[in-house]
Amino acid sequence: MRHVVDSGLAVGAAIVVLASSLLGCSADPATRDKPSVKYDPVSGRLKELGFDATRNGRNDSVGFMDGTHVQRIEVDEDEDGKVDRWEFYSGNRRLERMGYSRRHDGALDAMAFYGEAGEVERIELSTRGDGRFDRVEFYRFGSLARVEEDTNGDGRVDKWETYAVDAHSTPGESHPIVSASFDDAFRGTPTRRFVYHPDGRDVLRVEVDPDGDGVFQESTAARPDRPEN
Amino acid sequence: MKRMLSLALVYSLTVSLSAGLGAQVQNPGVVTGNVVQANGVISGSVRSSSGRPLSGITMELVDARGTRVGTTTTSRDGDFTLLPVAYDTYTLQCVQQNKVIGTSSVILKAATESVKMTCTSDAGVWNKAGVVTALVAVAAGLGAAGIVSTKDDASGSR
Repeated sequence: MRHVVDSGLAVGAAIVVLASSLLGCSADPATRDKPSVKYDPVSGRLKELGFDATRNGRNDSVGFMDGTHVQRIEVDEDEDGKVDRWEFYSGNRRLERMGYSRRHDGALDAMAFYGEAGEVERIELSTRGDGRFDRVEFYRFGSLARVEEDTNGDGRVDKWETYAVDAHSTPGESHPIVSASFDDAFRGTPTRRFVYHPDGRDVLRVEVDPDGDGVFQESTAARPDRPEN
Repeated sequence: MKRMLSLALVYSLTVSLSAGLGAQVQNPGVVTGNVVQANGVISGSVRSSSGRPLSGITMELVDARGTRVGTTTTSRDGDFTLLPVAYDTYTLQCVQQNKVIGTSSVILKAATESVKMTCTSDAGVWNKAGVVTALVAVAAGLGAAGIVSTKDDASGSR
């Protein structure tokens, strides 16, 4: 599992350090930031470890620890003084969640949740950057399977998308859209639904649910380019 | 006599005008003529779920019957503008590599309508590994491998 430091931690760390010294570093060793370490004054346990994750000579990341336990790592990817990424780890150093500042303004506006095997399970987004998470993307086998979104900010989902994902999917691969449903009346249930051709390109049929009972019927507005049955 | 005629004319015009205004108030809302279909322009910007502007994405406008009625391509900044269409309810589609990767409902009821939408095309961004390995390497470089030892009984203390 790629997010978990396995039992060969010491060996892995040694390899990383060795690789770093072999590959070299762009920064002058004399001006390179040194890792910073803070301990709890009462317990003496390690609290913080500042380090250079990008290996450019400047410390850009801080690991928040409880002794040996890595609780959280904050990364300033663009080194502008604001945190861009937050990594939250479980007791066994498994990456559980990763927060992200999409606007790189120091405000966490996206959060990915990972499964036991390290795969992305869900991403929650604040698309307006107002602190409210209004879009949720659900993943299966590492690929987008479903989307729910509150587009008008009233607290209720008004858009649903589903995608055809199967067990043989390559993680990150995009798959054909199956359907897209919209609640244009903002009543809490879809008013209309596009059902797509299996190739995920064209709308196969349009369905409507005028009374909101969850039962869709094909729209009576015939498409001019569709042959009559 | 001439002055009498002038006064009578003014009185007549005043009465006629008052009567006309009165008729207008009593019978409002009557409009005749040709109704012109109102059109509007839909524009906006598209970003990925990680906030990256999506350039070169085909944006399609689909009407309520599922028929494509407009198409354009996003700019370098992820911006797009479609040709004017009649006021109605539409669906915007992001198309990448001949697949629809995101949708948005647009109800056009004004001369311009701005849409900001998220289309997912970079799930790989979220699959990247964390930096805990780098932290461990730094600890090892400090000669403090025990700080992040895998042993459960390590205290991490000085």
